[in-house]
Amino acid sequence: MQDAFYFGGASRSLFGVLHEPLGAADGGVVVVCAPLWREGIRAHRVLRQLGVRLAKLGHAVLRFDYSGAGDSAGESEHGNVDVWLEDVALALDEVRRRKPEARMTLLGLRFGATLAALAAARQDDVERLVLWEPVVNGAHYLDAGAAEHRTWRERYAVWRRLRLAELCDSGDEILGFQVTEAMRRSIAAVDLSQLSLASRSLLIVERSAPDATGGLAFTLASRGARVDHQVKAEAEVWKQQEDDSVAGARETLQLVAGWLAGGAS
Amino acid sequence: MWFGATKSLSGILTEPERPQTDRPAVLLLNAGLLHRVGPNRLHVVLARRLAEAGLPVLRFDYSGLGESDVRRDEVPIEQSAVAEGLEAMEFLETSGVAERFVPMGICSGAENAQRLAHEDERVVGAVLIDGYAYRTGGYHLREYARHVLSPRSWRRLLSRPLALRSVLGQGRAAMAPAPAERNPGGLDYERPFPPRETCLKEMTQILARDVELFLIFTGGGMAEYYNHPRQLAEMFPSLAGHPRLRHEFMKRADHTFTLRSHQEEVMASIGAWVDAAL
Repeated sequence: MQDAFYFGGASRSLFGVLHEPLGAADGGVVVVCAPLWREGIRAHRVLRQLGVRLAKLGHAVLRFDYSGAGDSAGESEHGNVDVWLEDVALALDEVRRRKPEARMTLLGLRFGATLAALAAARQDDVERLVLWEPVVNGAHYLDAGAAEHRTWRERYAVWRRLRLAELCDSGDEILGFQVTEAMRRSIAAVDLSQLSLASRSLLIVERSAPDATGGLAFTLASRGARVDHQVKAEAEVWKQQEDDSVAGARETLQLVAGWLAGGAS
Repeated sequence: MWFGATKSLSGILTEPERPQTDRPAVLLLNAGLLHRVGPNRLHVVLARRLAEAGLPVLRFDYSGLGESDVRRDEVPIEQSAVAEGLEAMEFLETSGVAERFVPMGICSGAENAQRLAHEDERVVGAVLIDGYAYRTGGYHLREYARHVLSPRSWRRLLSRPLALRSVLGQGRAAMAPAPAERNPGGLDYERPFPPRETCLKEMTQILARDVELFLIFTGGGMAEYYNHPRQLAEMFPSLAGHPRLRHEFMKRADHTFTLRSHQEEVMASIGAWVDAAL
């Protein structure tokens, strides 16, 4: 069973969907932080499927849209990291109100994982974190997004035999979305390697093994977090449009469900 | 909100602050597998702008998409899409929101909007973006000329001697881009369209009911099917100049309106059509 509603008050009006747990098992509450922009739209299907699956295993799951994203109020260009973190805090408040005794988990994908980690550092009652392909460095993320947009535009111009100037671009776009200066500054300042999540339990799932430095998992573990790092070389479901994204992430979904059901301490 | 026979279809209704009597409601239909927010959140922004213009707008998810549950029966998707579109209209009518409707959609959404317009007399208008299109003699001529005049095509041809030998036999195919160079702004699969005669018959019947139709084709999304503003008249000569059939060729836009300038352009076109036709 799922319930759709708006929360966060008139000023925010965030759209949320709560999957109620099935059966007697008490798996606590999982709040899902989606990726930004086009990645968020393309990952919608797989994150909904994850919510359905976790609810069947006894978890309550809240999926929600950030301000200016999805069905929430606002314009996408008004977002920035502070606004999105306030949205995550409002989502946590909403589940605390609905499930006051529940054990709290934040689960995020891509920049949603980044926001989940940053939010967890501010919220003492978030015991567990699932970071699926987290963005560790905001500046690199923006560079990669800008490069992907530039490459798309150039390839499209060549293919359509258009001059690049004919494809009017405001210069601050990443694949369908405007990235304002305020948004850019706030994202560029993010660096998860500076973060401490001591005493929290984390599952980090990435598509490739970390480099010689050990990556984010090593850094967070060295600062006292209990980290389970797993490599699943599956499809980049946040980039797919028409393919069966749920099947593409089958092993990752199983891994996350299993970890939340019992693997996490 | 949840609606439909089993309350398993989900949607978001955006209502005007000052509802105007007798204005139709817009149904924004799923584009492919994307959920109700549309490509690059285009449906959300469009819904809010249309509501500002006085039209209620329902963005809903077909069964199995977005928040809507999967159907338990085995009804083919073409039929279930019509049935669920009708359920959306029933819901809006019984809720007192509107009695007349304007379905809009991109790609499969356009196909479903056309089906709905053909099926139900409460439909008074439809916007079909990258809907059905058919290659014509003019299409092939323009494509051939485009390749013949392109230095890039000649470079590719001359770098592949076997292709040069067969160019007279294969023409455009020999000069076409290799698969890796295929359209980054369109579709990478062949769309199964009904026969042109079937589509023409449907459109003729729809227009005969005084329905206003607005067809938009993007140059990137429909490059394999449609390449000139004149092509609509080539495809359907009997409909050329029809007073209730408006069309626009957005030559530079891609199938999902990736650039914000193209998002603004298509929303402005739809807004102007709404003002003029509804």
